[in-house]
Amino acid sequence: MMKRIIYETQEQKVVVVGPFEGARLAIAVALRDGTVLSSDKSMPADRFLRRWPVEGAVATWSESEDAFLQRIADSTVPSSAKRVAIVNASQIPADRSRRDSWTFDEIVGARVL
Amino acid sequence: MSIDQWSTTAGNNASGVTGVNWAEGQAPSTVNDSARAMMADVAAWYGQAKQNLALTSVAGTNTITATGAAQIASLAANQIFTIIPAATNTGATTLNVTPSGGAALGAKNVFANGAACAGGELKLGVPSILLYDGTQYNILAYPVATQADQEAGTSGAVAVTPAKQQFHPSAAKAWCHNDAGTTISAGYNISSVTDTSTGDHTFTFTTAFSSANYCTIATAKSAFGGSAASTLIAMVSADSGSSSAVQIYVLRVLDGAKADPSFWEMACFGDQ
Repeated sequence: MMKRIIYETQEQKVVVVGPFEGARLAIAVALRDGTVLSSDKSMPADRFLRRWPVEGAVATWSESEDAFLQRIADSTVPSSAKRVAIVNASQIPADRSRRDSWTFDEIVGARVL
Repeated sequence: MSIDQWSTTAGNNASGVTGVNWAEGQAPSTVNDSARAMMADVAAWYGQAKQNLALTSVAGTNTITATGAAQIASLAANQIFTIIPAATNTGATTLNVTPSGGAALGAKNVFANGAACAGGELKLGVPSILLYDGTQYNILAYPVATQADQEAGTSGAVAVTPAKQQFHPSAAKAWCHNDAGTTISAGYNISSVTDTSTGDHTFTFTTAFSSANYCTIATAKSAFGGSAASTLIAMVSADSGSSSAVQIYVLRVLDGAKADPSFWEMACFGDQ
């Protein structure tokens, strides 16, 4: 599962950014029936199929996951953020009942107080 | 060319075809003449086929003139011509073909999709195929819609390809379906979703709108029953004025407090 970008605001709140894989740059997409859609230049995966994901389709990425995450972080994390980290999705609490009490933890990601 | 005088019945080809004589007992001196005449016929036929009745020296916008192969003696049903227009037509259109070295065959209407052209069916520099049906020319291959065609949304003369479909004003430019958190299960033109707090998400577009004047429709799917306490409403944040992202709140109808839905669903319409 795609990693998450988390950052801490000046008010010490935790914000979680979930990048969408369909926006990650690819050079080709192979469909389940063997059809391969390719481009001579990189483009978001959902430009090949106009939506993403599509069951059985496999993308040939032209952008590493780290580079993609960094690109998303650049466009979503405000310069006022106190701290930023990239964490695994599993490091984000599934229980949202106390969502507004999450705190920033660079080791474990978002943490419930 | 006299190949059109040839018969599919072999016995009928003994004589009567200009320059050809394959009659029984023919004089030996006519053999080479007949062979050369046949070669000339086939060469002429090949020349015509090779040119595929391509029209050249195309001129005019709605009153189009063009030059055709010299072999086109007259117009006949099911003739196919290719043309590269010298201009984009703007209304009812006629085409007058003149065989090379011959006389004009007469102006005929150009139809598109069974009706007289209204404009835009023939595009400057874009090859088209025309079928003459005995009365008029019919455009067989429509030009492809550009982004501008789609955004104008008025032309009935161009065909839409999947690559341009989304530029029509009626088409959603972005949509997303994601869970209460930041897991997007399906979407289009969305690069990320930002979970700012309970009931407060921001959706960032891969390709931004051309301005902040676009329309967002959002719904919040609740996991709970139909009680007032579980009834949710999604709304665009008053602070959301960006062309590159939209901030959406989900509120509980009972008390107006922000709440998490089971799923966020949103779509945006506007100009990119």
